[in-house]
Amino acid sequence: MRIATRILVAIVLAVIGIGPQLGAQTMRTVAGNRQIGSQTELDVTVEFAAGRLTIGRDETGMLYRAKVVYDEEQFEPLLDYSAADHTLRVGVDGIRGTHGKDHDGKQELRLDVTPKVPVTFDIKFGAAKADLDLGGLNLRRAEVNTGATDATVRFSTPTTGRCDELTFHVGAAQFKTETLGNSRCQHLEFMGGVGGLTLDFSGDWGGVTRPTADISVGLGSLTLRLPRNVGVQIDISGVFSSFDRSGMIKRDGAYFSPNYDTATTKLVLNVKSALGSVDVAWR
Amino acid sequence: MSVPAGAQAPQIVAHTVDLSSRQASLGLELSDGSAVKISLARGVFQINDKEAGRYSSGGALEESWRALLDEAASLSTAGLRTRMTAWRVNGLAGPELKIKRLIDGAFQKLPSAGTEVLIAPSTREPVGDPGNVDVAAQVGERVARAVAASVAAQATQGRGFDVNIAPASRGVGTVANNIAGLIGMFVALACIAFGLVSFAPRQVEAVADTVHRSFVRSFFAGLFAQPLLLPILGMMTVGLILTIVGIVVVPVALVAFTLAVALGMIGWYVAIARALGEVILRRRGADGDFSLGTTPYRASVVGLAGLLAIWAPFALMSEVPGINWVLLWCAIVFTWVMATAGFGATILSRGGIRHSFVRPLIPVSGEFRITGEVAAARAAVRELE
Repeated sequence: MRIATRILVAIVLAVIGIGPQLGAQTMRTVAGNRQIGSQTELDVTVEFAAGRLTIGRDETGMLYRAKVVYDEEQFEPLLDYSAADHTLRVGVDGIRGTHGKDHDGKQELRLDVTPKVPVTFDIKFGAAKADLDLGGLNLRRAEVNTGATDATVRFSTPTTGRCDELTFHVGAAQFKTETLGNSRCQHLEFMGGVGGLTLDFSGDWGGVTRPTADISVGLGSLTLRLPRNVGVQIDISGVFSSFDRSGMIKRDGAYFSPNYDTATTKLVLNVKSALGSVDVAWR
Repeated sequence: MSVPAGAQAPQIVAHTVDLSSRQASLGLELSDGSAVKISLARGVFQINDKEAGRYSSGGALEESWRALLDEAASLSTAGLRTRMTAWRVNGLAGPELKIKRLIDGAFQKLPSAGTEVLIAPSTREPVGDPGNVDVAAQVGERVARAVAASVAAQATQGRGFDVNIAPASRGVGTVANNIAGLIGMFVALACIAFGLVSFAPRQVEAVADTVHRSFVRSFFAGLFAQPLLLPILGMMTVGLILTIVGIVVVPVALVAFTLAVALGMIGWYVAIARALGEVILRRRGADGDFSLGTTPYRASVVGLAGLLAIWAPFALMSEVPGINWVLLWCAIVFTWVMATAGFGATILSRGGIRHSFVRPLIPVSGEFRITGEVAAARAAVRELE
């Protein structure tokens, strides 16, 4: 009885201790919208600590439209455009010692970028729900670094620029890509930690006839969604990993799709996996 | 408002919106590098941060302005102009109507393609009384005069529109947050201390007594042991990998090791608090038989308060430039020294099992079960002496 009382007292004290941490949020909106001028390029850096992140294509003729809704008691907004070097930095950054609140649905960043100017992206986001549609942009290069998230990166329509490289560094996350073919990037690099990861290589690869992808995953499941109209070669190596070849033919140590030799576009995947599973799904 | 021939009207190249409970601001960046900021903030109408009128806070004008800016945050600049042109607020009168007209006038003139320019800083006069102007006709002049003081600086920046991101209440809010965090930390640690004292009283007392009696020895033991944590983790991981079968449990082992160290640190801290609490209570006059009237719970709580007190100056002055870093580092170093000593004491006492560094005990009677056994024994020894 004495122990039960102590535990009860401890719980009450803990609740009292947690109470002050759950203060009301003070939301603030900061937005910056800029018209297209003489810009020949745009380097975009997105840093978003927590909340809901949405990136898309601007349809109104602006260079960019950025809207940040954030908890001003815990975060600081980043909204800085430099005309001199054509860089845009946008996002929110945590204020020291104020982490751990749930910002889902309240804190958000919406960024729309012009498809008329060549764009490079450096996107970092932490505990966020993210929906990134980079389709239709004049994309040169993109790097996405994310921590614990539920994120989707899609290319709803083909990009218009010459994309050299697309890089994803993913921590513990439910991470999904859609229609990577529309990115028309020459090379993709993917590093995943823990979680459910889905890479969808369908889409219109356009003039890119031999896209390559280096994929490294740790714990977790990796699902490769492969288009049937593209020849696919998978070189896989791993430790304690399973690979569902799903109709692929093993030849010279690698796995090939049945249409590999006749396909115009040949997709080469180098997959490294440790303690995870690699599944293939055709579409 | 006339300008030399050939001058072009400045166009809006960017707009910013800043909406909070305190203010609703619209910023316009013009093609000539100048900027205009229009804001309604708690009853004050401001142009470029200078008062240009007063209005009824929370009234129809402010409500409509906020709704407009909320929309503007997602609009293109062309869309903003269109929206501003169509902006209507019913039922305005007096100062609010005047301010509305000021804003309307500003927008009518800003993007005009005629030979007038709104802003020519070098030709402007100082700001006059905002209540005595012909609103519709003089709005451009008003904006220009208000802008004059800051345009030059804005224009030479060569950068985009910077939003004022420092809320007035941030300092107070941060201090309140710090204090709340400190209190929360204290309560959380106190709860843990209660649990440890309840369920592992002998071990906590042994560690606390080891720190008490051999602080320097404990500190150096902890100091020398700290660098070994990572090598131990590495060796453990390599060892597991070498066994092949153990690879599967490597992630679990990493998590378990991290958790063990984290829990251990809390335990060390609580033990240190316990030792410090006993010292404080004794010095407050309870020497001799303090254990009879002082439970280990009380000693732990007092000790925790003593340990966390080092953070109080920083919590209160974290927004004071210069001194905040000094206070922060003082708190960090002090806490590290204490935690290191606790770590060392844990090693020396083998997690509270070995009593080599504890004072000699006499058999403990049942009446001390809810008090500090070691402390009680020590008091009893003292009485016998």
